[in-house]
Amino acid sequence: MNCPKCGNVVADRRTRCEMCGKDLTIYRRTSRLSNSYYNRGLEKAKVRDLTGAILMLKKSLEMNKRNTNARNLLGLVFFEMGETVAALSEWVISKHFQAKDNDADVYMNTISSNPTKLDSMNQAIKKYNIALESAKQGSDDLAIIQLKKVVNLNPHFIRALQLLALIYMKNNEYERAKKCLLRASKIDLTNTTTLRYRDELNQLMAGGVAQPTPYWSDGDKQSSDSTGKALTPISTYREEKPNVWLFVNLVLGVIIGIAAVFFLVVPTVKQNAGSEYVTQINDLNSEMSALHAKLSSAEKEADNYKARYEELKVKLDAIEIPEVDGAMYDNLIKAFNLYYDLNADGSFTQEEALEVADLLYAVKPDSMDLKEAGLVAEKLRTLVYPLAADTAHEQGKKAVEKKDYETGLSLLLKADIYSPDNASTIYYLGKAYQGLGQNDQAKECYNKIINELPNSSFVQYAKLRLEEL
Amino acid sequence: MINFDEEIAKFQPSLEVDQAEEAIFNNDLTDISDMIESILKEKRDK
Repeated sequence: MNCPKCGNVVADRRTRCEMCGKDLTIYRRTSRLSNSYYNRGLEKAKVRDLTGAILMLKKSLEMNKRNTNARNLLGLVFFEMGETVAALSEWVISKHFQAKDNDADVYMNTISSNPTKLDSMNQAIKKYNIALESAKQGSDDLAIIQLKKVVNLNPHFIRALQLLALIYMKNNEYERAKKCLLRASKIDLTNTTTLRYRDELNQLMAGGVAQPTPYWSDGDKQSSDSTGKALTPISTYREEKPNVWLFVNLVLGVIIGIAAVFFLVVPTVKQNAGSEYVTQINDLNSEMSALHAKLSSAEKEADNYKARYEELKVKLDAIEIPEVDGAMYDNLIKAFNLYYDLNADGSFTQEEALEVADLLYAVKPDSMDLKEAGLVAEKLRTLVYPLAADTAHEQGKKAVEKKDYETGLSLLLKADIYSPDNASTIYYLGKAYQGLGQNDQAKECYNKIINELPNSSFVQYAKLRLEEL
Repeated sequence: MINFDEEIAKFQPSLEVDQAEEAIFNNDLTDISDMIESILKEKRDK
């Protein structure tokens, strides 16, 4: 060993330094204690009891600050727990005490050779600090977001995992808290904070009495026996026999499947098909009823049209269309031609007028479809009839006076037609009837003179004749 | 039953890499040997 005062190499059996004379008894004793603590720390570190290892190693360094092995191991433990700066500090101090042949060089070179890794660790620390600040201010969501990033950057950062678990527990997210604490437990088995949080979590999840979780457990709810399961003997090797029941089960399964299809699926398919047909039938029925409605309305309309037709037919039948006699046009033309021929030289005699009037008498202007022809006939009548009436009257009168009653009658009738309401004509007509023994007709004539022509000079004569009758 | 606010208050900020130098300088490297030496020295001085 080296003398702590002068650095001189001293043999192990020597109790005093040969160079400076310093008493090495206490130093040797503390050195042994330090080494003992270091050994314990190493054992704990090997089984991942990092918290225990830190305690031992710190004790070791309290005994002997120059114990570089303990210091290097402490740095490693810190690094494993995610405390990068603490680890670097220990290694730097170790390098200070032992500049040559120091494992701390290897550790520090490993970190410094990967700047990305170092930067990510630094980022993790910064985010952790931000998250801690947010958590203290009550911004749990922000803290959770930051801590998730921290854990991704440095999965071994135990304090970040613990803080995250704490915040999850605070927000009743027990499963997530459990996962965080399990991760922390895998890094450091005996971390007091982690164990305390797990107990609290179990209590919260169980809702009952807190059950302390053994540090070796993964948090699964197993039996309350803390000693764990007993080792079970491994059974001897046996080859598996071919299982007939497997084949039988397979066949049964197929049969059941087919039966299920047959009894469940097929009726449903049939039912669906039937319902389709029913739907089609319903559609067709509705179409049919619509067509029926259309038909009935069409029939009603037809009946209306029939009734209207009958009505119009009756009206039509009631209308008398005068028959058009072609012969009337012949008579008119003859009459006109005769009048024109006879009047060509300007002398139109009474006999000629009578002749034309007879022809005109056959013409019925109302029965003519040509109005113009009717007008012509009327005009011709106005020209011819007065002259013809006079002629017929004179001739008839002479015949009656000569007692030729038949000739007189025919002529007087014509005269009455051509010039109605002529008292003289009617009187002589009466005389003709009277001469022929037709007293009734004679009376009619005389009464007509008396009643309808009272201002006539023939009224007295008519009365005398009536008295005679 | 833990008090969440108290537990969160227990968490201390972590030192960043930039602050490592300061942390090293502030590190107390006194061990038992140094303490014994100082006691003995006090005794001698008395």
